[in-house]
Amino acid sequence: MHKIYLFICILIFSSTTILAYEDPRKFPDIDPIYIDIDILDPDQKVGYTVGDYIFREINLTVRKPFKLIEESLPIVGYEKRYRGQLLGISLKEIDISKETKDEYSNYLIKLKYQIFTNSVTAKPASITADYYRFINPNEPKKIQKFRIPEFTFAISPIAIFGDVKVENDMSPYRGPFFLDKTPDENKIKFSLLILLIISLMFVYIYGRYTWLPNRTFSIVYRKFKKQKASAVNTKKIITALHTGFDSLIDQSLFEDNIPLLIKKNSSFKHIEKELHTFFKISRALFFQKHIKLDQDELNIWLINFALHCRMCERKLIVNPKDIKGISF
Amino acid sequence: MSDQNLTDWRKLGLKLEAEINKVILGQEAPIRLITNAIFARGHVLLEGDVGVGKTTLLKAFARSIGGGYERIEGTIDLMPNDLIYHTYLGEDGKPHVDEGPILKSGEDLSIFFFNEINRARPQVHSLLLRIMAEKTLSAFNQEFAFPHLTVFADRNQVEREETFEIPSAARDRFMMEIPIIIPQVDKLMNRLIFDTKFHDGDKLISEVTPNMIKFDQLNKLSSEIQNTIKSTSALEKYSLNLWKATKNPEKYNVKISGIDTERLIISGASPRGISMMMKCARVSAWLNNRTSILPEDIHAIFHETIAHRLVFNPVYELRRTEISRELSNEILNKVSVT
Repeated sequence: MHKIYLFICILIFSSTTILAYEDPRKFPDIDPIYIDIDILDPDQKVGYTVGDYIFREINLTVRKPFKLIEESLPIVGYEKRYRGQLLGISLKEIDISKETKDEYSNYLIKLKYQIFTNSVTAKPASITADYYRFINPNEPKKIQKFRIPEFTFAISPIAIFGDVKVENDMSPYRGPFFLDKTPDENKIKFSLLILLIISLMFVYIYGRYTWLPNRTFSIVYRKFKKQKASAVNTKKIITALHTGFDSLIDQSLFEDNIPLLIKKNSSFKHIEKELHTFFKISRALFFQKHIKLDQDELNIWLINFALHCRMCERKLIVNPKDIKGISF
Repeated sequence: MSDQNLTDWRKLGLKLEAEINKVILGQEAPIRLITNAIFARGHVLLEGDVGVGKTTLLKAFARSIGGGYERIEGTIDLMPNDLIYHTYLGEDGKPHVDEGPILKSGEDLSIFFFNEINRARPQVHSLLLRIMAEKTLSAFNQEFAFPHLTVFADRNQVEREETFEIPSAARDRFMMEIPIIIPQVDKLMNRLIFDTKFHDGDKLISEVTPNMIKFDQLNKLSSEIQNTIKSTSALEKYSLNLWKATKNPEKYNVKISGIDTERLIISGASPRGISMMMKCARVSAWLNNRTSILPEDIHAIFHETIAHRLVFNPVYELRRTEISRELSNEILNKVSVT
């Protein structure tokens, strides 16, 4: 009994295997009047090496009543064989677009093969012929085939075995190696973009304190650096400096809250002595009219003080030698 | 009064301050403010917790100034006539009427110390208002004058039972309201605990030199200080802006966390308040040996002369102490000098 079951199983298995291994060449050729074919193969016939792609474009027109059996088209991943031997060429992509009219159907089949073989010497290779099958719906059991011709080319070694001399290796039959530079270009563009963003961030971070114009004391210094000494101008620059300090600490700055200013910007620590002198001058000018001031000396001192404030604003350290007193 | 006299008086003023600082620990700022008020001829209200030394501080000042000194305790059953007279049956069995604390020293009354003023009824406040403002009193068909009188009062903010809120009109009569806070300095606190010298208040006060200042010359001196110390237009503009800021703080970008400053103030500082502030600023400049007022002189007395005069929206009145300090600080921070 077991033997019978075993026999039936072997019979079923072998029948399916035989059907799967069905040789397409056994089908009769279709009458060429039903088929128009236009194949676009690469111009390059030599110089292929491992990793290269080969593109084929087949424009196939099938007249009625025949139809293309789309299952007979090559399958992605299928590796070409010649006499049972692997050729090292496999189908990477297939793109089919179909257009159906009353009289015919048109197929545009784009095939992309990749080479996985190489050799130390040049060797012939080919994308072997494919057999596409067609069916007449009126005679469904009578399947017919059409042979897609092979494409032959030569696989070349990456380098000549042994000593390589470029001047001796200028074969006119081998095309130049083209490297795809697009990914590298994209990487460079992306890197430049990152670099630009980082640079802008640094400019923002350091620029706040260094060279960016139109900060409070930059404006004061620029506005008053060329002013002539006079009581009115002195009042103007002192008022501008007070306003600058007030805006810096977001409240009125008085002599007793100078530590608040230093806390806000520690660079002002280096001109603390000057700050106290400034308040002394300001008090004398605005609130103690009996104190007499030398306008010329005062003007020079105030402009120098405005410059020091600008430096502190930019986080620069004022040289202690530049700090001068004033007598009044 | 010559400049030399002003200089001598200043030295005396600083000596008075040093004398009080000898017996009162860690209260340099309030002592400077009370000294200021004495020379500006203003009344002083002290505010603070129980047992922080308010009474001792005022008693020490009273001793050093000289002149008549009277004191009364604020209680809920105190009536205005208790300040003016009291009646009793004498040894002869007949009723007698004696002067009360206000009248006892006559014109020489220099210090009237009202302890726990907020325990007294509004009727008593009313009488006191007149005495403080006009320095006169009508009683027994007679007009009494107290030209040298300074009222010192204290109150504690902690107890609310059996107390009366001092009305804003009465608060406005006080030149300063000075908060008394124990400084959180371990060394000072240690002395207060372990130095027995500070445990007997009366003995402590007896260490203060009595009658250092001729109380009957203070009015003249004060006028002289006010006439001598000058202010510039810049300072006048600054003072004006400060006054305006007490009325409309929001216009000066004054912001207090959690407070709607537009709704906070019902009434800002009064003209009397601002004039008192300027009087104190002049005295501050004088005490610092200057002939002109600086913004720092105003800062030194701004909170104490202004904050208690502001009338807050009732919503915020319960938090007056906390809010008024923040408000005055913020006004000084935001109002620009130039």
